[in-house]
Amino acid sequence: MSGGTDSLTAREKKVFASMLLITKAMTGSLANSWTSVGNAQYLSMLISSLISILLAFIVYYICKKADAPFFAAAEKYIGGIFSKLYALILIVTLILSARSVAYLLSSTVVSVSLTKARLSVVSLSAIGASIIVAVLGIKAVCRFSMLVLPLAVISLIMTLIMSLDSADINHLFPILGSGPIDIVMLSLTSSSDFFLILLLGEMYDPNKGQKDNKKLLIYPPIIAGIISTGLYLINTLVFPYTFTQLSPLYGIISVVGVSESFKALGSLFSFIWNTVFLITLCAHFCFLGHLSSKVLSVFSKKEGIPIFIFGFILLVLTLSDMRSFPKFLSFLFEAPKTLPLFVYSPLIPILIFSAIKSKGAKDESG
Amino acid sequence: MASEISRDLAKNAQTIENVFHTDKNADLILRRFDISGTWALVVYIEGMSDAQKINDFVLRQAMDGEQNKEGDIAGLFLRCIAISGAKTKTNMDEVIDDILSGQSALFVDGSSSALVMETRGYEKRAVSPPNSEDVILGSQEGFTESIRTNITLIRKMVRSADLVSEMLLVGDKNKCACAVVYIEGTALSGVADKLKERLKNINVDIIPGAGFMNQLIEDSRFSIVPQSVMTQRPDRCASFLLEGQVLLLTDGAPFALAVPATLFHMLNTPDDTFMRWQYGTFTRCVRFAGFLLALFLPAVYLAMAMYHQELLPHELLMTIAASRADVPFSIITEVILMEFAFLIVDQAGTRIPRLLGSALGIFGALILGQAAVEAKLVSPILIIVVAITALGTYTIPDYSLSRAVQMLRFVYILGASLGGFFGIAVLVFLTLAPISLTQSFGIPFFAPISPPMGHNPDIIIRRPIKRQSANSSIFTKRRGKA
Repeated sequence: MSGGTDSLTAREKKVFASMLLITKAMTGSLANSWTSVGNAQYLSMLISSLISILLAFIVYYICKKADAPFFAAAEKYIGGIFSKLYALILIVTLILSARSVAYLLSSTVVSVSLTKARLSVVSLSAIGASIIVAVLGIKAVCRFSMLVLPLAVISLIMTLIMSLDSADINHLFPILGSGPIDIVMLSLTSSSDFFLILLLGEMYDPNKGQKDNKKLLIYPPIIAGIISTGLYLINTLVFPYTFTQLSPLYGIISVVGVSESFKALGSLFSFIWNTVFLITLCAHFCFLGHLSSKVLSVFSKKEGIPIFIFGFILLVLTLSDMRSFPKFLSFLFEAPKTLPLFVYSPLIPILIFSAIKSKGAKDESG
Repeated sequence: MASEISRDLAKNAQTIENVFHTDKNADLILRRFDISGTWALVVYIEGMSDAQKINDFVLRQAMDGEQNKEGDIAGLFLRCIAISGAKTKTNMDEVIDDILSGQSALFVDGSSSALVMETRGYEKRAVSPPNSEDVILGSQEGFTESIRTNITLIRKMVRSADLVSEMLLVGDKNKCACAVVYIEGTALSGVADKLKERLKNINVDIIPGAGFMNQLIEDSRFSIVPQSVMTQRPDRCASFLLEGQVLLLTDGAPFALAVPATLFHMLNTPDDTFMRWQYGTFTRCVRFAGFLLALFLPAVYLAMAMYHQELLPHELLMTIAASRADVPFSIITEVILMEFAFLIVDQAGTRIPRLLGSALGIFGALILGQAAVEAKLVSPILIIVVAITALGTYTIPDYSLSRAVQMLRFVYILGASLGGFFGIAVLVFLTLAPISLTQSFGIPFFAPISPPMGHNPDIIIRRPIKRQSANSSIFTKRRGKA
């Protein structure tokens, strides 16, 4: 597998990164937010986006100081046991994140389109197709996403326009929904954008100017944040409290289906966004291949072999959608709920420590 | 075989007789004559050379003792032979190649060089309208099988001193004359060099035509999409040259290959440029819609009928159900049978003699359409779907691309039968992602959309002529980067 991003142009990287973040936000854990924060779920997305932008600035700062992509930069400033721990966390998170995307894709597909198809068949075919294309490399994924992007944007805009008929501003009240604490907690535990920000740090190119690199890392979260928050806001205006579907995308499609004339468009948009989700899934596998080779180099041969075997078994379990594995591991597959706790608790101090060390390096050289 | 020309005329004559098997071969003419006491020999192939020209401007001039007292090649070249395209050569292999191409060779006893004269006079087709690229507005001249005529047609359009045509002989046994044509300073210089390199590395015995050559020079032989544009039109070639592309002309083929080529080069026609920008843009949009219909319509129909019935209005759904009620085959079998029948009709239409062409039309319409429906073998709506798909295929100007679309259509039909729209999405993903990596001499197939590149506003939406510039094409913007 090749996840090398060196051959991508700056514009390709930016467009690709923006699309990845938008699709991840749309399939993310905020899908279950209706029951906890009710009509204020768009606020959760807004806060989550702001945190993503902050994280993007931190990642950019670290990469700039190290003059290297993110993982190399973190390794430089962290080193030792922490970098190995971080490496392990990244691999597991990648696999689980890929699984969650595949699972949500399958569920949406089955619930909207293929009532006769088995969830596992749909899931496996999605993962299989993504792995095959991932072998071609991220360049193929990126270029294909450029072709699909106009369709995706048009379908989003059309959905927004058609949704306006059913919008009622009163659905926004009370503004804070079930309460501000729930909103903030949901924002913090959302794993959608944060993880991808770290992966996007791998696209940092020391050979390009700082302006280009800044655009790459900062602009996509901003664009994704605006679009995602807008979409969740529309969802709120249209369906306030009774929405219980798996993903906000399905809600959007349902809104389109309100009018009989536009009913057909719902399935068509679903088709377009299925393709977009496939791209996201494929990107996960691209990054998995790219990071795995880098990450495994952190370990010695002795350490690397059992880790590789563990990762392989985990991947197989993920692909086969099996649930009959040891109980102590079962919580891993309760993603996305447990994922944030598992991933970000150790990551946040690592990132802070890395930022402090990089500043120290700058002071020494200065 | 000796590579150098001998001073002994008899030895040269013997060499040529051995090479051309003159004991069996009646085509070769060897005419011995005297030049002021020195023996000379003119060699040419009957039918390939113009005998009248040889008689008037070679034999008569050379035999004139007053003008040619020395009787050597240099004297003949400078003072006697009144043919402009004459050159001296010392290599026998080259002389033989020139004779085979229709030129004539003059040997003189005592000279270690021969005079090769441009006396080609074989029968060739007159310039006529291209039969595979009709246009309503625009030039009605098309290429012929003569490479020299084709280069002339291009030069009539591109009157620039920077227009370069480099001649090459390609192939082992049958050396095929090819010309690499480009505009110096405009074309991507790396492309011309890369093309010449690929031509030099060709080691096949025979090159029957441009299509064969196309397969020998392409970047990826496993990609389903073509990587060059084949055209019969000099005006289109002129447009390609001015944008920075390089042409490959092959002797014996009335087609030019233009590289690099993208999807949008294959979908656009000269008519789009000759019309006003509004009409040109509209026509392109219609053609692009036809292209998409040709690719996806049967698969979408299958997906809707099998998995996504909610897409169809109730009345249409009832109509489809009623029309399919008595059809014994499953919908997927029906679709594949009709698509296959269309392919057979398409192939038959290409091979059938012109006199019988109308019979094929009657057969196709009556038998495959009317009779099949009345016999309830297929549903009427499927006939409409297949007909629209066929029309969409024929809107694609590039023949190779239309074949690729036909093949991909079956892939998407399979995807639709297995998983509806999701199946189509998976197979679109699996097919288009590799195609997006396909390059033609360094230019990606979906350029300038993917990857985004600066370009002349002439892709699908065509801006007014005054807002376009050949200098902003994707090739000139990447000049020197191929």
